[in-house]
Amino acid sequence: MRIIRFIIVKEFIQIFRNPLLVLIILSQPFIQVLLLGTAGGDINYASVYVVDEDLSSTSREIISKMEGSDFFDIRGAALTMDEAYKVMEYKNINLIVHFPPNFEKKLIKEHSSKVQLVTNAIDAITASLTYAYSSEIIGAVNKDVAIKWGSKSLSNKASTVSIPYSYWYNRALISQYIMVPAMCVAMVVMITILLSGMNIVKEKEIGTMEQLNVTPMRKTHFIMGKIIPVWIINIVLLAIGLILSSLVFHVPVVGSLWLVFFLSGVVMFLLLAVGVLISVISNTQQQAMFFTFFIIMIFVIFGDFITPIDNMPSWGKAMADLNPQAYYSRMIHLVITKGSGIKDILPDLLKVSGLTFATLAVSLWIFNKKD
Amino acid sequence: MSQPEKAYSISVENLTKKFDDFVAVDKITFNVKKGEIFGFLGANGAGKTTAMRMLIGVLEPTSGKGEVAGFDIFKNSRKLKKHIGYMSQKFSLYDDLTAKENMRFFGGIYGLTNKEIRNRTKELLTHFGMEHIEKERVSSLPLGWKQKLAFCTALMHKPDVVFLDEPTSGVDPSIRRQFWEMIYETAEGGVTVLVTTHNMDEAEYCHRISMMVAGKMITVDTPQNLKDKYKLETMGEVFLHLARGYEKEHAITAS
Repeated sequence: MRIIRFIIVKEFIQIFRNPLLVLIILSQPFIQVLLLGTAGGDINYASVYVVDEDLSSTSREIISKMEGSDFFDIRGAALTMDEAYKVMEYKNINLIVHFPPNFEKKLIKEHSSKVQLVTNAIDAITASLTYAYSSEIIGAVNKDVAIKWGSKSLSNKASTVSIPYSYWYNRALISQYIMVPAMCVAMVVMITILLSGMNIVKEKEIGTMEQLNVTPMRKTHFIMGKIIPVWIINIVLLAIGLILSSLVFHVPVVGSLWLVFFLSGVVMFLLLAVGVLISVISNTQQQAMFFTFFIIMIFVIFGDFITPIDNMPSWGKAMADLNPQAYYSRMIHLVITKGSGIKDILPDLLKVSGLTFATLAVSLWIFNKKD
Repeated sequence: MSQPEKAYSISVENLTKKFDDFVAVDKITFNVKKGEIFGFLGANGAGKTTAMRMLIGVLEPTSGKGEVAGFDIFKNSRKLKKHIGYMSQKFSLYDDLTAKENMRFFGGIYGLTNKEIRNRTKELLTHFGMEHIEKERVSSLPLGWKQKLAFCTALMHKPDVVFLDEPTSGVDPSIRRQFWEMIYETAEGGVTVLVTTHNMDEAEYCHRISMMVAGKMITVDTPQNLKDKYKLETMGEVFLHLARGYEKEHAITAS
């Protein structure tokens, strides 16, 4: 145990003797959480072009309702669809609303009429949101029309059961409540793997590993001495990240803050184990660097961050079972956003611990064999 | 024969290391007395470093017997490591730590107490006249001083045997001289020194030398005896004579 302490002290001296490294590490919470947390904004705006060939009171009512909502921004009107398509092509319009001639007449005579909605699906998420919101507005107009003209068929369609939405755990759908904790997770994953991944291989490259191999020091002690400083640094970074998320974005921590740190501490050991494995496999820092980037990419893509794991094919889900980031972001969201307790995350914590021991055992085996 | 063997710090019998088909070290046998400075000579790739790596417990021998500081190199490599010091060919202290911090770290790794570390650091630095570099970062030291510091660090835990792998390569003659004075002083204190070199001037400084060619140890004797035996002036000539002779003979038997 005393030996581990000597290694930890040495590691800290070396880190603090490298001011650029300290600066880069300490700037991470500010860059990742502040900048990226702000950049990943909500979709709260769609630009609209109108092609009104009907020019009736109903078509105008729908347009004015759209104008009245904060979401739609009516940019202009075109006389023909061709003209509107051109605008969509060159000016990046999200939606074209097209009222065909005799739109209102048909509505009164035949109790049914058609509006055309053309959405720009280059940005799929905005397109589907735009479509949903505009359908909602048209639905509301349907209801008014039905009441106004007492149309039977329309009043049947205007169902009496309405569906009010409520988004649990994030009622206002504030994206920062999801984004900011996710950025904290991404930051911890990146820094932990990067620092520990470069750590042991550096000693190999500068030749000190050879010297250490001649001492009676055990490899287990060496690895512990190497990863504990990185662990401490990341706990500090996480604390800074959470303070920023609370001060700047007012992200509430619904669950216990202690639990957030506890689960992070556990997951960090798995991340450190991954770093150690990279360090042990690599012979040079360059190799380790490439390895680390490759692994972080996979972790992020399969980490519930870009695509939800539930939507992945079975092999993707299987990969997520081995992915520290997937466990970490799931648990963090459960505790921070939903307020889950230790019981709810215990299965994940146990799996993470199992993976940690397995990874460390493999690393140690390779380390003993290779060097 | 078993009784006197105990007087040896290093005793090796038929030690062999094979890497697949390549025999890097071929049945070498030699003994080194306590307090002796023993030179390992040979050209690059002759097997000196491989032999040394087996003796310091980082490379497992293929066959043969070996005992260093009273410990079997097969069975007790961890215990053995506590009693030996090693200075590698490649400079291997931490550049970003000071001299004192390096010595403290390695002292700690060898399990010394804080008090022992303090006393030993002071003792070694004073003894070798290096007190003034105590607080200097290693990166700012000239190569010769780095090597002297590496030697001090290897002595932190009072080892019985020190292994020096080409300790003076790239060092200027005056520092080399000082370095050898350090080696002599250490050996006089009862520490056995095994040093590899391909610098033939240095070979003259050793009490006894062994010469390796193509994995085999072709001779073990004092430098004076060797020069007398072959009636040559310098160790360099002896080395060339022996190496060429061996290679010729070997080429004939091989063809």
